[in-house]
Amino acid sequence: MSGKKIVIIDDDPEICDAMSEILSEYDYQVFTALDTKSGYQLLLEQRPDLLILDIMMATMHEGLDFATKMKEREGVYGMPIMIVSARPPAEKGYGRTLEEDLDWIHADIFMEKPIEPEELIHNVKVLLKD
Amino acid sequence: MKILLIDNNEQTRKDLEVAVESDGHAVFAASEGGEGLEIFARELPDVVVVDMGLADIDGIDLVKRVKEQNPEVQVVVTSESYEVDLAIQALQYDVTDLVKKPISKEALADALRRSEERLWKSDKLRAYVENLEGLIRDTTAELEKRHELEHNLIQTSMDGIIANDRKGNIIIFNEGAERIYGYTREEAITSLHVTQLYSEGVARKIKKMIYGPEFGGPGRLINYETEILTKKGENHPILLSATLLYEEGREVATVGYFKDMREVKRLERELVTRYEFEHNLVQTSMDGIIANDPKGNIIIFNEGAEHIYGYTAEEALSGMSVTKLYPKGDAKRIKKLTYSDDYGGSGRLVNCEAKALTKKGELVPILLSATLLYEEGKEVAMVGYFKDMRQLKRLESELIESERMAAMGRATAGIAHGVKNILHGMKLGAFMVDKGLEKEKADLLRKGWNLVGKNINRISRMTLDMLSYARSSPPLRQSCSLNDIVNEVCELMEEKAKDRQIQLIRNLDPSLPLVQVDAEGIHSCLLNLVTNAIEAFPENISGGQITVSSRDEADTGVSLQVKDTGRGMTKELQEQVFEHLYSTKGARGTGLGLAITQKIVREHGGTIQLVSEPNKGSCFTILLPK
Repeated sequence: MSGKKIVIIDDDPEICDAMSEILSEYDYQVFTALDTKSGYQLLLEQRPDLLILDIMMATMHEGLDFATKMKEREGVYGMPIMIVSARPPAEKGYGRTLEEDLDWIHADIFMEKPIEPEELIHNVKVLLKD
Repeated sequence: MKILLIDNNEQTRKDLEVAVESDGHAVFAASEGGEGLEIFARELPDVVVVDMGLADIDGIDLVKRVKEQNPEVQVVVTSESYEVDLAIQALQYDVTDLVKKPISKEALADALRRSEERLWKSDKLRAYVENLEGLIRDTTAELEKRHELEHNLIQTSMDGIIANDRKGNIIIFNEGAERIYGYTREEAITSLHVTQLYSEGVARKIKKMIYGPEFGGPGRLINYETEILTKKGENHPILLSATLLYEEGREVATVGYFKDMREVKRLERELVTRYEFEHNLVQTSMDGIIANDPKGNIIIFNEGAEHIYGYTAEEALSGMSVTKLYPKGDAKRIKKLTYSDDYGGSGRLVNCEAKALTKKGELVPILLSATLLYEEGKEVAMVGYFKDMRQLKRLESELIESERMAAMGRATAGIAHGVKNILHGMKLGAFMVDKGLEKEKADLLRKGWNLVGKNINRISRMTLDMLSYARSSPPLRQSCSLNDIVNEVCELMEEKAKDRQIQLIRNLDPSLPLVQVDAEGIHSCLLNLVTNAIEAFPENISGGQITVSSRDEADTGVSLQVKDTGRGMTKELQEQVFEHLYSTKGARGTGLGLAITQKIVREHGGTIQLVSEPNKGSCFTILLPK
């Protein structure tokens, strides 16, 4: 039982629940937030080992903006970030593309929805070095 | 006076010297002729008194020589004898006086006085002559100046000026002529004959015209249009005036004034071209253009008009009355409107809606603008511009359709996004079902199965929304009360709002008139807006308000408004909310709700507006025409 902490920020409560259930099965402690504001509180409280982040929430690129902020303060929040989104990385027309931002956001892993749960678990294990 | 005495006799010289000096004259004396001539040349005396009995020179010869040197010198001759020969010779050489020796004082004084008188007269005469010569010089200069002026006038005239003598030789060829013909003045004067200035036969014809009475009378030609032949062999149109010049009743020359008509002709051609251009513009205008004279006869009927009315221009222009183009009485009404101030001022009519009566008897909606045309203050015609509104309406619906197709294209990206999210939920659900079965955890299994079920619902909802957005059928309008629709929607949503602890307030205008709408369509619009409003509140926050109001907006129509105190939207989001099929509702939205709402409102000829501020709330207003 690793008991490592994972914070999930996704505005879909059902996805949050499901991911939480699944990851709990692998003995992770999962905390969820429906927006980045409360997600930020969770980060401060829990100091998680991994952040799983959706992109499109209240704005088209709320997740990207949040990831940027976190990476800018890497020393403080040193956890890896996994971005999970239905947006393909190079999709244009939303003002920003993942592709151009990934260069400097350095999200550790990008997973395009729908994701295979097995793959999710595999990537989580890789990022947490389990 | 300066006086020179020449005499051999010393005593005589001395006596004379004394006598003359005492009268105040300057005296030079010589005893011989040679010496006398020397002094004459040196001193330039006014009077010479000379003895005829000189030893070295004959007296008359000396007279002759001094007179040659100075014709004005006065010569007094003295002589022992007084012979007729001498007297004649003396006269011949213009001697002033003859004094017989021995010279008496009186005779000498007399001779000197006469000399003085003659000298004075000669001075006067000279001055007079000089004066006269000066006058002549001045007059000549003035004449020359005037001549030069006239010459310059001729030379620099813009018009060509050419003169020829009776033989046809050119004697004047000014700069204007050089410009028109391309010949230099020199070429023209030295090597051209007047007939070479025109095409063959023209010069003769012109000559006939000058002598004939047709253009300004015999001997003159005024404003005769003809063509010249330039050096390059081109024919240029000119306006020619000519006149014959006489000297002492004899014809000596012909002068012609040539006005270059190329510029005038060019302007004329341009005018014609422009007229043709405007004519074509009128003819090919998409809009109908019809003009009629004050009697109502149609005088212009373009292609656009042919399209609208079905009459050919030929039919319309063969005495058809403009009243035939409108339903009975309308022509009169339109005429009245044109004269009144109501549409764009007196004498004009701007964008007046009317009906055109076609050849087939159909009524076509048109937008009519008209103007009265005046010539010298008199009304000469009325021109009408007819816009076919059928075409406009068709274009409008085509535009809406293409906009919808473009939106559909953009929608595909949004739909893909939605489908991926749904699949994501299903995969997670299926995995949970598997795990639940595997580990015999009924709870996990139920949760997983539940998630799958919800996503099945989502995909069916999305499919229905897409169908409803893509459907292109006109709204089924029937008279209904918008308040009734608001009530239905609010009742339907009451429970959901209550669950989220949101107050749903109705604010209805009781005097709202019935409107012609598709009740089902407006129902789903309102349902969408209220659902959105509920979703606008963050999940874990309660106590919001949603107000649904209806209002009579008088002339502009009726309005329905859904206002929430939820999280509001940024400017960026407000712009995207109708554009993309965009959902911020996580798993619940299809992203099509607002797009469908907008489509239905537009199909009713209405508008939908959004006012929103982050953290304060949003307000959607639907405005429908009555």
